[in-house]
Amino acid sequence: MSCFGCFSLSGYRVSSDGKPPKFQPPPKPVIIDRKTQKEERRFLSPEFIPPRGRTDPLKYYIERKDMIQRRKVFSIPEFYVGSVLAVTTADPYASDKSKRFVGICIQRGGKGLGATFVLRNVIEDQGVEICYELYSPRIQAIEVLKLEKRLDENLMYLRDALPEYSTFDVNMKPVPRMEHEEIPVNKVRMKPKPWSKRWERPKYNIKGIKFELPEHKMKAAQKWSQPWLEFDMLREYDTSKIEAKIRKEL
Amino acid sequence: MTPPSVVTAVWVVIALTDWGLATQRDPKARCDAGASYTCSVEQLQTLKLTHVPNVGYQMALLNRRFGLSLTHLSSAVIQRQFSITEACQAIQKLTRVRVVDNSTLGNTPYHRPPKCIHVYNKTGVGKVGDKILLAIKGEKKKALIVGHKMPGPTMTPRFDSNNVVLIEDNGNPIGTRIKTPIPYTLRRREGEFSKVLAIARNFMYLLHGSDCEIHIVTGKSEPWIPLNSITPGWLQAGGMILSEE
Repeated sequence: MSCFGCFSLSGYRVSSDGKPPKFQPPPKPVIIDRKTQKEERRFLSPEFIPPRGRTDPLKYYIERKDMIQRRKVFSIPEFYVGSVLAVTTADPYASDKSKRFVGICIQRGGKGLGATFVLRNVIEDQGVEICYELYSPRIQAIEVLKLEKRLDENLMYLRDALPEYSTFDVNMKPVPRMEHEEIPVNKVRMKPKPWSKRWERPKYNIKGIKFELPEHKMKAAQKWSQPWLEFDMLREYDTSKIEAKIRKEL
Repeated sequence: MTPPSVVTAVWVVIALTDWGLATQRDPKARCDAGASYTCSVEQLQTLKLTHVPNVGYQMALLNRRFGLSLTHLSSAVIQRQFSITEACQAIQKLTRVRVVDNSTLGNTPYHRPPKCIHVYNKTGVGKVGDKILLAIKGEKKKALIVGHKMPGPTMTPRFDSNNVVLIEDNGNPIGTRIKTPIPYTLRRREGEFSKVLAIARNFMYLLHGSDCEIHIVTGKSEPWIPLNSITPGWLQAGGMILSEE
């Protein structure tokens, strides 16, 4: 479709014949229904999904109700492991009775009301991690400064990575984001080798590190791989139906 | 004899997953500081897990792969007796610590790192706010723990290094400034730690933009700009004057 038809009136176009040009109807607007798309992709916080076990589902149902109650009073934003958050908590020993901590979320653990997330930051060359409980009444506000996803669920390797990957300015401004599922392409570079865990081993299944180890070491690490694990049927935990049920509840 | 050993393994794993690391232990595995005792290998296996610095991650792994950990343990059980000491976390005897204040004793390089030689505690394990004895540069010095690598209760910060502030016997800090952040839980014991808290520049979560210096001995009467952290009890305690640069 040429743009001429949109912006100029047909009467003004000079055609070779001298007759008025054929009426071209304006192009039909394409309706993109964003609402339905959004609902399909609505974020369900991982602590709503009950863990695999033999406990009575009633317990999880009651917990979920309490969680929803809490969320009505206090908004818990959507965030993933790898996003930068700022949390203000109430503290009796602080001057203003509240304190604020900014950090990158390295892990989200726990299910139900005991759901926690660990924020990491490097302050004054000292790495600090704080584990917060999502539904604790001491938390006054959670802001997402930068919504980001990473390739792994657990960023514990940031402890052995260069400190620049864990430093975040305390007075950082929130970064606005349109499509929130961008995964950063840059991989994390690590400090020299003695690490707290051997992250190169396939047990941890880390995709977010740029390993600068020699080839033979990477191959040696593959010795510990257990390729049968992904086909083990007893370990399967299919959460899609559970998620669908929970979404209906919510 | 495999079934009972599997049972004990299960018990210990459950104990681990309940977060009761320091307190809930297999009755056989109780010890006083420094004592050694015997326990069987599956306990060794499970206790080995606790030696991992990042216990939280291990917890998450255990919680997620509950079945896996059990099979792993039961397959690795051998009937042999080992003698080990109880797995203690945080700071105990012979841990290397990092001195965080700006005292000369703490900052001059020496071929051996400062090590803890005694913890002034009923258990031999030192957490934030405990006093310990350090061996630095061939001397013995008391110190206060201000942060350790072991994860503590939720909402408390966990540092990437074991931090310590040098202290005299009466509780006066030797250095004049502490740059690294300090957990707020120390505030609760303000009577003991008022002087240490005074020299701390960064409290956890509350980072002052400016620098503070203390004139402890001189007692000069300079006009001081009140920091948010000052309470009247302090000034009476030490007569310290703070000035912001």
